[in-house]
Amino acid sequence: MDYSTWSRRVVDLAAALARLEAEAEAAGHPAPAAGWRANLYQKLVPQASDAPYLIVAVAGGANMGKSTVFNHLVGFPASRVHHNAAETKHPVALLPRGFTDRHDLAKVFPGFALQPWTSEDDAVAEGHPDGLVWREDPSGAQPPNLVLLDTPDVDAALPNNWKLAESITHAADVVIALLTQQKYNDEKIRRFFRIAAESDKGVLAVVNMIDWPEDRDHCRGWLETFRKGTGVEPLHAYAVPRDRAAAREGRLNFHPLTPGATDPRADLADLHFGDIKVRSLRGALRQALDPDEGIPAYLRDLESRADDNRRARAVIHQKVQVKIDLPRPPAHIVGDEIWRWLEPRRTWFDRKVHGAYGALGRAVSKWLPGSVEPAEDEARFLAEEKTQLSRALETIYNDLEAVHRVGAPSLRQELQPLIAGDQRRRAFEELQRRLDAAPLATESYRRVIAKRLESFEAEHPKMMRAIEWGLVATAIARPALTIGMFGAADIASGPLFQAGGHAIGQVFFDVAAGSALTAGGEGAFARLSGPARALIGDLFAAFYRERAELLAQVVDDCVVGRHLDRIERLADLGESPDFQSAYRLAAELSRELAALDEEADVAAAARGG
Amino acid sequence: MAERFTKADWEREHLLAGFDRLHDRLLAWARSAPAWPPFDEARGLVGRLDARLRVPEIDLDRALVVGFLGGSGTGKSTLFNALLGRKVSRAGKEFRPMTRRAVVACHPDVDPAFLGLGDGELEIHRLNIPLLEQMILIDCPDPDTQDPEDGQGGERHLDILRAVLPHCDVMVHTVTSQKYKSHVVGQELRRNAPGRQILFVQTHADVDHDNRPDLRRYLDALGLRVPEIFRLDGADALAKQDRGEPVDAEFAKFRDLLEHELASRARHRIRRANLLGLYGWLLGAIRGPIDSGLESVAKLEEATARERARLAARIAAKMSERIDSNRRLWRSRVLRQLNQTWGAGPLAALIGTWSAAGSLIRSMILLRARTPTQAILAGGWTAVSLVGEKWRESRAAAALTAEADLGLTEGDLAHARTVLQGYLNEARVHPAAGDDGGDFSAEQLATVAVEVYRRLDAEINEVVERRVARRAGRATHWAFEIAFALLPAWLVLHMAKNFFYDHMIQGRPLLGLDFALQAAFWCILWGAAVGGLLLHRLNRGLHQDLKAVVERLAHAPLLDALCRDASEACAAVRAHAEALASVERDLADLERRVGGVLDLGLGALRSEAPAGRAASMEVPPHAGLASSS
Repeated sequence: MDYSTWSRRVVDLAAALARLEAEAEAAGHPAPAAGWRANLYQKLVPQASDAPYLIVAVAGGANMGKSTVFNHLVGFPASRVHHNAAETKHPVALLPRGFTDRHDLAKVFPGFALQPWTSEDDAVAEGHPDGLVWREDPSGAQPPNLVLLDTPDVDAALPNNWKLAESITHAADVVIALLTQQKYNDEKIRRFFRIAAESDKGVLAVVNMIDWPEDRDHCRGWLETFRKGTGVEPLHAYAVPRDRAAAREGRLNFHPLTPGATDPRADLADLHFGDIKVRSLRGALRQALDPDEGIPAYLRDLESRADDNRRARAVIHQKVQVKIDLPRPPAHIVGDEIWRWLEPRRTWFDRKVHGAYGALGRAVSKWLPGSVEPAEDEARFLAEEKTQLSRALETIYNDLEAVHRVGAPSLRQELQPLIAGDQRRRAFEELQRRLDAAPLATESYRRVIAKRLESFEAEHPKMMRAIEWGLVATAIARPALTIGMFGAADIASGPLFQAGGHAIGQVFFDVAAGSALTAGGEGAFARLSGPARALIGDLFAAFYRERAELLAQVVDDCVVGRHLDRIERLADLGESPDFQSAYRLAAELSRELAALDEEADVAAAARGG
Repeated sequence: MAERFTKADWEREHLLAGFDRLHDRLLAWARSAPAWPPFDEARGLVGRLDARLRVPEIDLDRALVVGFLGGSGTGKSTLFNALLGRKVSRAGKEFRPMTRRAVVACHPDVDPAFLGLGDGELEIHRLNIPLLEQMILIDCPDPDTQDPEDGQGGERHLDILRAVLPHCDVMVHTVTSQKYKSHVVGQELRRNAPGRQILFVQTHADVDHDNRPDLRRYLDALGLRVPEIFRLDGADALAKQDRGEPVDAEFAKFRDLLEHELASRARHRIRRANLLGLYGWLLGAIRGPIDSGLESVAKLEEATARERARLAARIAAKMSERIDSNRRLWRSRVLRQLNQTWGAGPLAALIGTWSAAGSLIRSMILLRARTPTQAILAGGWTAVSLVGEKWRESRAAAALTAEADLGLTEGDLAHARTVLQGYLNEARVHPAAGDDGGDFSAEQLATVAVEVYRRLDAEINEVVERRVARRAGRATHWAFEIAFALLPAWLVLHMAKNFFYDHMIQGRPLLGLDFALQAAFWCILWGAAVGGLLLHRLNRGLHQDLKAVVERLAHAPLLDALCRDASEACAAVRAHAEALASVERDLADLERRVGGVLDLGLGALRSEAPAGRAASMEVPPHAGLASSS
């Protein structure tokens, strides 16, 4: 595999995944803390594109002497040794001379709050939960490109310590595994080193706090158990006797347990950096791409989540619909607007005559039985409309509740806040506020009327007169309005318009132009000829259209609108370009890795043969 | 028998009766709980723990069961052996885990079958030594080497541990410098702490640093009470016993505590304290979800009250509007009342005529009255009850009438219903719909409306009666009658003088017909003035009084019938939650009588659990303590 294209792809994959994670998190689906993230962001990304260096981490359980061994390796008390357990709370990194000139530390240890070393107490200080203490080797004896790390424990009662230890150990190429007779077979310890072994890191095993030489034989048995339980094949193993005074003074006795081993300091310097680096990088990649726990699993999870949400969206589209029978419109609403439009177009005489007729007509109509004041009529319309809308909201909430009851867990979780009592109360308050603020005849309605009348006048100049007289009687139209969450499939089935450009919360408005005129058969209006009838019908339809749009918008805003946004976003996540490219890159890398592993197997078999 | 029944026995029986009562009350409480998820949870919990809670033989002379809990390699087996003074359980560092079965050391007379473990999981050693006369020691496997997934090739020593621990009265928790903060062990300790006492021991004293102060902080954070931590070396103690040398003071103290203090003297106290601890833990575990559930019930109640108040305000506004627009109607009612109260008298007769004419008009108005409020204001309940009768006949139609009249629309009801439903779901309260159609239904509103009208009529009646009684009593009646009679009386006098004196004696002409006409005219005018004054006096402030009636009615408990189902469900939940407090009081009472075991140096779960609700809700493993009899 060509190194540069490989590293570029790893970086691309990480970038796509980071964006995807951000999107998913914003949509309410945070990424779980999984090993692949540490492998990808802590190890592969920083180390794939940088000049190579080797990270060696001392790891193990609480109070096993990690800091003691670390201090021995670096040659001075760099990390505080404390007799209480779980005291080391921050990783300590000892860098070779000039390392900071060649590398950007923030990139080497991404996600950590970097703090320069001031004293050995830095490691045990309370402070930033992601703190990492670093220092350049003061003696200059540390091999160039070798970074030494002390890590917090992996088994005591502070979960933040485990998190830091796991995260920083993922970045390592070589792990120095601390073992003691009490803890070498603890489940937590086993699991920790099993993960290290699976990602092909080099391991040096140090059996600490033993009685030497009585325990020499036990040591081998313990190491064997450890090897079986974790799959670790230690490069070297050492035994360190229990000797408090020696530990305090930094002169530990390392008794080699494997042939060829001398002292970890010397053995570390002798390691084949290149081989180990390649192996650990490949191991990290393999672990990150693990089909059950790695990136593929995350992508699968996202995809199934997106599927869930798509299904949820379909269910909501299907179920949540409500039909509103709009009340009879206030009779004057259209008439007034026509008069307003006519006003500047009439002669003085015309106006006087009509004014007199108008006054007479109003006076007469006041005494006619069954007549109503315009203001009263409007109030009636608004009250009826509000009643209808309140009932519509009730139906919508019942529908949502029904969807919630039978929905998938993720959908239930999304809908939960939507149908909570407080949210309902706010929705009704918002509805009231919006209705109070919305005038019956809006500016845009006036513009529509004016436009329609102008075009009518151009087509039928003589008919305008008839209209003027015809308006004494009023047409009554009663359309029905359906507000619903229609999916794309429904759009074709009827005249449908979106409320406020939202993808959900559309209205279906079944007033076809002209058909609005259902009860206009009384008075002069009935005698109007076809085109004028159509005109009046259109004008009422326009009123309803305006109104319907407003109502749909209100319902959408109050009840579902922005809340269903998350469902939408999650539903679309599976088709986003980031998802596609992450999926493609992960698949490619997995294939190439499999090919490489096969090659290695063949080579091993050949060597064996 | 009877003469052997000593005071101590009497007290013991009394205490046992207290335990029985506590158990019965808790059981009754759990059984009679209304349907509400936290109560269901509580019922489940009580059911699961019932076997451990119902311990009639609490005082039975069973030996004290002491179990060892600690990480692998912390010296459980070594301490076990050291206590027994001989190598019974295999201890050492050759491999981990060392102890893979529960090792039981007991007296030959004791049958450890109650542990309910198979032979493969149990290793029994019967030793006839004084230590075991009152005590069973169980060396348990460790909780920290078994992988929950792989189980070390089929070995489930963690399961064995979890099967044994529930039978223990006392746990000995062993730690070392390396393992005292082990997360896995800590969780296991916390899980098994309810209902038992704990002895804390830091072992490996010869080689390890003393970590007891830090250990104490850690255990405290786990929610445990830590009076004392022993620090000793089991291996050293055993070696010294083998060599026949005296053991260390700390070990001797520990063994003495176990053997003499706990096993013989304090055994009964420990058992009782364990049982009370278990009750305390259980009540705490029940209490948590109930308290958090009650918060949403409170929200529901608040929402109910708010919706009700909103509707009431609408009703009040509507009624007050009606009162404003129907002044004539209620004035005529005052008039009628006045008429009834006064009876005879010239002014009364005049007002009677007036009222008679008025009632003709009123009956016409009544015919025109379109709404019950108008009808009430005009004519009283008789008319309304007719209308009400009609309502009952067809509720749906009635509802519409009532709504329109109460100033509420179906939309307002839908609003209230929807909001209420949201809060009901949150509080997880699901009241059964009553026979009136459910909360905020049109039917329920109609029922309420009928009631409101009945009350409104009664109240208005009262206002009118009170007014008439106070402002037009007997004295006022006479004053007005006299005032009214003054002019006619003087006219009669004048006419008498004219006839008898001026005409008969002086021979002057009689007053003419025009005088009589004029006199009649002035009389009527006078009567109108006096009557007007009277009515003004009566009607002044009536308006405010009626408004006050409306105001009062709007806040009357009358409207509580709206949303009755939810309110009743909430009240039932609350009442039952409060009933739990009395069980808690019983427990506190028993605890006072039993007394603590703190003086023995035993640790246990603190009664208040700061470790959080999630931790406290973990059910301790089920165990049949009762089966140990």
